[in-house]
Amino acid sequence: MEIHDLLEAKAFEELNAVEQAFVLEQMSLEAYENARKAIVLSQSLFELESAQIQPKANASNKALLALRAKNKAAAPRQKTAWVAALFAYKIPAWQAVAALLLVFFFVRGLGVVQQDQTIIIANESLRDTVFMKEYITQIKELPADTVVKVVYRDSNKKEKAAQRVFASNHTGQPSKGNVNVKPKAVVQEFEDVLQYYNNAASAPASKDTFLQLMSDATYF
Amino acid sequence: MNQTERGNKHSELIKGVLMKITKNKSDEELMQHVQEGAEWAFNALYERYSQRILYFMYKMLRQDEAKAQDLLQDVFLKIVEAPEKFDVKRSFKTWIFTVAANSCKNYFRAQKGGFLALEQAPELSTAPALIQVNSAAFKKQLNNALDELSYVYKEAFVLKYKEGLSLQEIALVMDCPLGTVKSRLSSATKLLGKRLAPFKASLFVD
Repeated sequence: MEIHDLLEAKAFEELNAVEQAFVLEQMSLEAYENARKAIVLSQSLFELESAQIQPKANASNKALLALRAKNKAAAPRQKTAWVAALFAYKIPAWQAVAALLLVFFFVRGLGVVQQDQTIIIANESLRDTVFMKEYITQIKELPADTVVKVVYRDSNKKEKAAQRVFASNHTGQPSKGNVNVKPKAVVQEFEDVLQYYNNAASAPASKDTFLQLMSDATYF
Repeated sequence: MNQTERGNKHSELIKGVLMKITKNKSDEELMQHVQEGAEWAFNALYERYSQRILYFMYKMLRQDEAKAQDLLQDVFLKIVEAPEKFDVKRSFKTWIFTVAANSCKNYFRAQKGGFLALEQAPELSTAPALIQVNSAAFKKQLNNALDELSYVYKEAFVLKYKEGLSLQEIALVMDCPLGTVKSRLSSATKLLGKRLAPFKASLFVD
């Protein structure tokens, strides 16, 4: 309970017994009435006067112009401030790690999708090709703990051996079977190749050097 | 409808829309927008407080309306120039009344000799002769009685009984303890009561 609020709100007769006792503890009845009268009359005067006194129509112009000027001056600063704020923005380490992982898996996912697309394109370009697929038609059940040994064998072993024999024959001496090849033509061809090499290479090579190069580059 | 009428109608429409937007916003929220440079928020605050601040300063400056109008502009200029000084967690109402009260005090300090000692309770002139309560003469008499109060008594009285600020808010505006506010208010009402005792309580009727 506040005496100032009571003074404003109620005349002494309007106060209840508790409030009256509270007031009389602090001031006389006459003082209360006089103070209340002063407040009521003053409030009445305030209301009357304040209705007559209004701010000038252009009173806010000065402040508004200042605000506009301030906004104008601050506009470019705001742009740089935005960029600066972007770089200065801090996040917890776990968020940074989570974001990195997210990006990693996202990119990985993209790769898978692209791979699938490539496969589809390959299938389209090979639509006339006949593919043969082997299907497992028979399932053989093996007892547990069975060790399956897979042995790989070279099926073209004999053919490769024959090729090696041919190469060794060819480097040693000309085969008798090649009777149609004339030595002069071979020499001429060799000369042409050497000439071409010398033209193409930055450093010309002698016949011996060229032969050495040829022998290094050729499997005999 | 001519161009002026259309312009007026347009500005009324804009005013109405702004009123709707700002209606539910607190003073502190509006001030936050002002800090970000929002003109509409400034206008809303101006609408809410300009009249109150003007009248408060009018009373504090002893009914000098022209000076009150000038200081009103200065108060709102201060708000615009340094809005960051306002802490949005505090009450805007107490802040703006503090700025206004300080402006008045500074004005009186600048006017040497025009400032009554802050705490000095003046000797009130003797009771007036019989004057009609609702007459202009009585209004003048009442204003004189208010002006004869010391500056701080009048400040507390106007803030409490005109602006409806709580005692705590007045303490913040006047930058003094709550007990001091109560004491100043008691003294002000007591002095005014004595001065107005010869009159019968009555409201002004125009």
